[in-house]
Parts: sequence; C-alpha cells; structure tokens
Amino acid sequence: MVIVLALSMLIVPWMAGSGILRILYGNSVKEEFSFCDALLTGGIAVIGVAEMVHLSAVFGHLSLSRCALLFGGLTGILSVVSLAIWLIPYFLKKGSAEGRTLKKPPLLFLLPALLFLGQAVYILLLSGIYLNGDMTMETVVSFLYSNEIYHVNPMTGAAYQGGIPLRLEILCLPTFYSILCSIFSLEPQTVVWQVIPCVTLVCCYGAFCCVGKTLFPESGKRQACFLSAVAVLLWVGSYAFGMDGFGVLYGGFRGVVIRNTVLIPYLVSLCLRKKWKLAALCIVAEACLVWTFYGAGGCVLLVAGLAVSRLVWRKAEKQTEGGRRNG
Amino acid sequence: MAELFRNAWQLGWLRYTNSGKLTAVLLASLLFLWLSGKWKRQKVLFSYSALMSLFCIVPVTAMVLMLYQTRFYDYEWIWSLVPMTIVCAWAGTALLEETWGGFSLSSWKKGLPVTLLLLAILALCGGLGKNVIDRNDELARRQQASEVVDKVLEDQSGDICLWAPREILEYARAQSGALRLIYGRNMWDQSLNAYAYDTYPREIQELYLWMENVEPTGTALVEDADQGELLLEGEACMTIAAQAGVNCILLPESLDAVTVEALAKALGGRVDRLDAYYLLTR
Repeated sequence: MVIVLALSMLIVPWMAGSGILRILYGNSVKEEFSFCDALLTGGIAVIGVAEMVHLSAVFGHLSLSRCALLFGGLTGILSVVSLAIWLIPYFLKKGSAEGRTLKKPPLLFLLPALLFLGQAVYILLLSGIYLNGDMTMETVVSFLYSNEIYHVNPMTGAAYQGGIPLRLEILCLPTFYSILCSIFSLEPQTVVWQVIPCVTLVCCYGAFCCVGKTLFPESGKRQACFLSAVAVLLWVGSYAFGMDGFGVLYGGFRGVVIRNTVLIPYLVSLCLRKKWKLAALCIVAEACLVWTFYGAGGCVLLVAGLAVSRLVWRKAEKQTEGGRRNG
Repeated sequence: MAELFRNAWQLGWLRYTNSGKLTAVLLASLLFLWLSGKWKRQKVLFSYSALMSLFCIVPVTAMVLMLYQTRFYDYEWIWSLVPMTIVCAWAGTALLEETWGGFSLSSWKKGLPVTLLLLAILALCGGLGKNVIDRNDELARRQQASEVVDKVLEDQSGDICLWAPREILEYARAQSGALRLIYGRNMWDQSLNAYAYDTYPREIQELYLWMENVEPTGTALVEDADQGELLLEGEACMTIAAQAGVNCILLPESLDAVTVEALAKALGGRVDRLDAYYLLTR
C-alpha cells in the first residue's frame, strides 16, 4: 500500500496538472512546461481539493470517513477530466504529439539522481524526526481515532476548552494526511513521517529542476550541475532548524517546509518565466498550508519583490535605450 | 520593540550563523556572480536576492520582516524569503562550468581540484556531517514509550486518563488516540501553546513539576518563578490528579516501594509493575 500511495501521489498530481496547465496556457503548454511543472501544478490542485474538503468538514461538520470519500471522488474527477483535457487535442489533431522529440538527458544527471536516492534512503531509514513545535502526528492520530476534525485537543485528547485559532483551523495538511491514512489503510507514522517527506523531496527536486531549466534553458549539463549543487546544498544545509536541507530531511511533512522547499523555488522559476497565473496558485497554496497569522505569507512578498525588481530593471533598460536613441 | 530588535540581532543573525555558515556561502556566491558578470543573465533574481539578504542581515529591516511574518515564527524563518539554495547552486554551476571548460572531462586537472575545494568549503560551512538529531536515541525513546503505552492500553479498559513522566507523554498521543493525557507535550514545548487557546491551571503545572523532580521519598523541591522554592508533596499531587480525572499513573521506579504504596492509597487505587515504572490505577 505504501508504494501505491507513493505512486498515486505522483501520478494523480501529474494527470491533474497536465490538464490544468492546458486550461491556463492553451496549446503553448508543450513548449513552455515540463513534467515537473505538471507535477507541481497538480500537487497544488490536490492541496486545493484537500482544502475544500477540510473546510467542508470544519464548517459543515463532516466526519473524516465522509471527507475521505469526498476527497477520493473529487480527486478522481479532477484527474480524469484533466487527463481528458490534456489528451483531446492529440486525438483531434493526430500527429501533433509527434512534433516533440525527447532529448536524451546528459549522463551528468546521474549525479543528482544518486544524491536524491541517498536522501530518500536517509529519510526512510536513517534520519530522525524533528518534533519540536509541531503536532501534526498527534493531530492526525486524533482525527483518525475520533473520526472527526478538531473534535479534541490533539495534545491531551480532551475536549477543547478555549478553542483553536481560526487561521490554524483552516489549514488542511492534518486532514489531508488523515484522509490518506484512511483511504490507503496505513499507519499515520508511515504516512506522515516516511511517505510524505519522500513526496516532498521529489517535489523539491521537481521545483529546483524548473529553476534549473529557467536559469539554463539551453544546456542540459548545466541543469544537471545545478541540480547536483542543490542536492549537495541540501545535505550541507541540514545543520540547523530553518534551513532548507534540515526541513526536507527531518520534517518534510511540515507546511513551512513544503512552502520553503517546494513552493518558493517553484515560485522563483514561475516569476522568472512570467507565469503569473501559476504564481497566484502558489500564493493560495501557501495560505492553505502555512500558518501565516495576520501576515500575507512569504510567497506574496517573494512575488512582489521579484515583480518590483523586474519593473525597476525594465525601466532602467528603457531609460538606457532612450538615452542611446537621443544620443 | 526593543526586544524584537534584540531578537533580530543577538538572537537572530548571530545565533543563525553560529551553527553553520551557509549564509557566508550565499554572500560569497552573490559576490562571485557580481564580479564575474554572470548576474547580468538573471538581473531580476540577482538584485532581489542581494537586496533581500541585506534586509535579513540589517537588524532594522530584519525586524520589519519579523513583524511581517508575525512573532510566532523566529528569526530564521525570514530567510525563507531569500532563495539561498538557488543562488548558491547558480553560482556553483557558473564556477564549475568555467573550471571544467564547459563540463568537459578533459579539463579535470583544473576542474577536479576546484570541485573538491568547493565541497570542502561547503562541508566546513555546514555542520561537518554532524547529526542534528540522534536517530538511535530518538528511536529508542519512541519505541520504549510506545511499548509502555501499548501495555497500558492492553491492561486497562474504558476511558484512560494518563499521567506519566515526560518521556512517555512525549510520544503517547502520537502512538494512540485512545489515551487522554493530564497534560501534553505543550507543557514543556511552549511553542505548541500557540495552536490552541487552552491553558493549564497552576495545579496541573505543579503536577508536571512534581513528576519531573520527584525524589524517592515522594516529595519534589522545585524552583518557582513566583513563589521561589516550592516543596510539592506526593499525596497532595495524587489528590489533585484524582480530582482532574486521572485514573492511570506511571511513576518512576526510583521511588521507594513504601512511598508508592502511600501514593496509591492517596489516589485510591492499586499498584502494579510495568517495565521500569510503577503503574497506579483506580
């Protein structure tokens, strides 16, 4: 079941993402987006579905088992419809799919692949879990035991006395993990501490792959070198809480880690490619995953910063061009 | 505001760079990209990263960013806004491409030493492979706690409200949702208190202090911020626990057998042995 879950968490987002990209960007999808884009966009869509289900549970008082049914149904519909949207143009215009030739990736890609495998093995077999300041596991266990969402305080198992902050209550990750445990009949420890961190690791590499393609669009070797450097930096950066490497190796199930190692790198690549619609989706995804309190979140600031930087440079370039023409 | 400023500087930047020096690698990367002119290929990313790094280092701007992300998150999280890994990997790729002559194996004489040097620098700037979390220790503690929790669940029927030493309660709720606890991990991990408006009354906090400091005689001398030194008596704690609905207590085996009997009497229950603990039930 673990393998089925891991595969589902890659195939379903990819299917959903392919269709969503086609809806958002039409026929230019083939040229402008890769498998990683589809995977990450689909991942964001699945988070969106989980959020919808979670909100219905919190405000509509649905039980967890009903949430699992609803999530399974919605994700299934999303995947099938998206796949149909993605495939229909190929059937309508026969032969158009043959236009794209797959290039053989350089051998240098073996290096980041090996480093990635090492990290996946480390997460599965060797790394510890950093639990300070996090109660995801207790929350998931509580949801599964009571078959309700936020019915009891996960810390003690007793009913809430003062309640729970609303901004926290609307975050969907604990419900999402509980639904996965429920659908695939897996122990929460396996799902939260092993499968999810591995999926986060895959998505993290997917996001950095998109950055690599954006920074070095013309050279596969440079992209492979970039990914290797990322892999080494993740290992090296595992020395302290708050670093990307630490998060991905010791706490890949946390919302802030998914934000820092998946959403932010992907957002950087999207902003550099001027894909603002997808950037907006990342901002919404952060709001569903991370407790931003009254702040608007890191993704908004990143997008704003990169957009301002782009505007400033464009203005400067225009001034330089104008100066040249006048001169 | 002064406290936030102190956090942004003394507890922020200085602590952030204390355990590892990846931020130094970031600054070196930015400098390399600037001096080599590679930054011109991605002006937007470069200028954003350089400016945001500066904002995170300068205490006044760091303070503003900390206010933006709210006080729930510590200083290290403002660095989420800096694409550190991307910039370092970009600079590394640019440097390696130059030294390897466009990634040609024939340039190994220049490329290999530079690569090894870079790896050594990175290793020195990181934790030199130091294990941040002792997996074996963590796994052993978790396993021991889960064995004890399983035995408690096997032995007892009905609604169980457990009071036990920290090493058991730390993992109890992650192990089973069937247990209720007199207090949870948020008793000692204060950051978890942000997740709910619930608070522990003073008596329950004293139960925690007693359990973690209990002497073989059943008393605990603890330091209290308000009342100075405080002597907590075992029997009184048992009565409070019983009133709070506790029906299952694990006590450390370091306690005298006679003391344990007296505590069981105060609780109104019986004593059994369970691994390295006395199990009191009522």
